[in-house]
Amino acid sequence: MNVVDTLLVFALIPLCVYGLIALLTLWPKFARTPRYQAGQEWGYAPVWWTANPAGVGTHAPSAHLALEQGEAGEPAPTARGGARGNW
Amino acid sequence: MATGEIAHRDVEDVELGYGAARMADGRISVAVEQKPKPPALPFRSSELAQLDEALTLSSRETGLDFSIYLGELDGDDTRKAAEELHAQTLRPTHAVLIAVSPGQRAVEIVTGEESHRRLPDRGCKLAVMSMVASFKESNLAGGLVSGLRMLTDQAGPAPRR
Repeated sequence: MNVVDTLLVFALIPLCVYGLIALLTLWPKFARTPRYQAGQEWGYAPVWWTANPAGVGTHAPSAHLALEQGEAGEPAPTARGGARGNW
Repeated sequence: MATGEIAHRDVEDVELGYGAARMADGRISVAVEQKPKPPALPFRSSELAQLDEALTLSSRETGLDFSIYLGELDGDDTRKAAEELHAQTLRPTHAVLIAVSPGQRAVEIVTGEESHRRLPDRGCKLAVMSMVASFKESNLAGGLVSGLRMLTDQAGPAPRR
């Protein structure tokens, strides 16, 4: 067994194994979507989610009603309470 | 040249670009690379599904209209912006708006007339504290879901008619 064979068997093959295992462990980290970190700039368009009306099932106020209310200009203040916080 | 007529270009003066090929009839077919769109929100689909389920279950159980606004709250007064959003809801008396602005590091819960009766400010404050604890750890979706659960527990089931 000459020097090249020794290097191949005892250096290259272990390195390949290490590289393969590292790739397998780190792959999910590279592949997933970027997570938001607190304090970063929020560069996304605003979204407003409501409950799925089919899932809630009961009351379903028509959009027509909301339109009529909206045409009256500045909506009257409706807030009665709540809470706020910062981080 | 009439509309719809196929333009034939001379063979010599056209240099085929990357991904272009000349078809048998002389037409040039060009392959355009499709770049994947960046995600609209930094959430995994499982987190979005959890949020959707939490919103629906909260609204169904309590009979209140829970909604989550996620984005910039215009102006310095985040409270005022959130209250304006609350006024735009379909049923403001029953609406509970959770407005989160990660850029401004602010979270607002706005309740209407009936929802305030069911959800006292003290309960909202508790939910806000729980959400803020998660937001500090960069866990937006988890904080929203736990806040919704706390608000649901606080409001209790919908009154029977």
